[in-house]
Amino acid sequence: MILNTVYTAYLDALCRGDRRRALHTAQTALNDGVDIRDLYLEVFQPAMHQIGLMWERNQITVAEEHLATAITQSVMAHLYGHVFDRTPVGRTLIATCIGGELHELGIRMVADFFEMEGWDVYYLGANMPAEDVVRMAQERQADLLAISVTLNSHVPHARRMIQIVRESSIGDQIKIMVGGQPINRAPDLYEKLGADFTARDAREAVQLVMEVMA
Amino acid sequence: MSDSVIPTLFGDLSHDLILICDKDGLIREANVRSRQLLGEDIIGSTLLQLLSTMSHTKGNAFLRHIATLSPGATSDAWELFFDGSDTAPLCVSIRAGALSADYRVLIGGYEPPQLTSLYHEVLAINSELTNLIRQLSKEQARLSNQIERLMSTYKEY
Repeated sequence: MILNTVYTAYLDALCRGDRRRALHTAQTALNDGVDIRDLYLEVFQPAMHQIGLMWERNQITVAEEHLATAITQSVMAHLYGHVFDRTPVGRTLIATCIGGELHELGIRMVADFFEMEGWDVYYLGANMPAEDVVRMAQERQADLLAISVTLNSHVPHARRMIQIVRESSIGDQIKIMVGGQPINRAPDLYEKLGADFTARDAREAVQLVMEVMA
Repeated sequence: MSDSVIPTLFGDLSHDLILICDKDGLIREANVRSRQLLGEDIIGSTLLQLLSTMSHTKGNAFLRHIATLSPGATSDAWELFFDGSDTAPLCVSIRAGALSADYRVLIGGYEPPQLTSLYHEVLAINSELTNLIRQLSKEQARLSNQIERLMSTYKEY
């Protein structure tokens, strides 16, 4: 019940472009005992999904959609203190996003969920060249590479990136996970791209990796 | 002066995209600016074929909406992303008017690509700033831990 109320208040703040109110809503929810994972998956994620639907229904403009994305990025950054302060488990995740910064919220959530489990997480940002991803993964001896693909047109880029990682010296050891709308719509696509697994959201990603890499 | 020259001239002089389509979205006429931005061969294409993938769902909703317009009626502005002929997706704010029961005129002003680039630059800056906020949070936590340790060591002595 409380999450519904938080969701409604948060979405309202996004629709008004009110960054302070969005942050206040999220912080108040945490102070009231809401788990940060629930805040991510039951408030931020559906609110941003709703914002996307509102754009498709011509209820908001592109500028308002961009502002909502920027606000949620900012709110997540301000709540980061609740994310990273966990006992290290000695595992490392490299996360990257194919496409612009507008599409990085999902992979940010995945990265934060792993950090909540004590993983060392390196988020490389959007549009990182594959060679830099390989170099970072080698330097940090990463256990897992997470790649977010948000548009169909980005799928070939993901395939190329995975191919380059597989052909590198770490290709046999590192596990690769892909996620995003095009992957969710075609459940077998992750295998065709050369990835080890996929997950529909951040919680499922963590559960799956814990099972596979236990 | 021929009557048919006047609308053609208006169309050719306009900086906006002007398209005439049937109510299913099949393009029948296009002004010079439309052909420059969307491709010379757009006549005969459907509106959906001209849209970027990210706008297909919205494009379908737009077509459903304009199909219901009665002659003389106009729609609100809808933002749709078109695949430009030589640019990144082009954001066009487009309105429709019903010329008759079967035909629609679409007039759209597009966002200059430089402005789109600036949008993306602002998003990139926001992303960098949020990264810095995260790093700062971590450093603050480390600093607090060190200060706590220092204080407890100081108290012991």
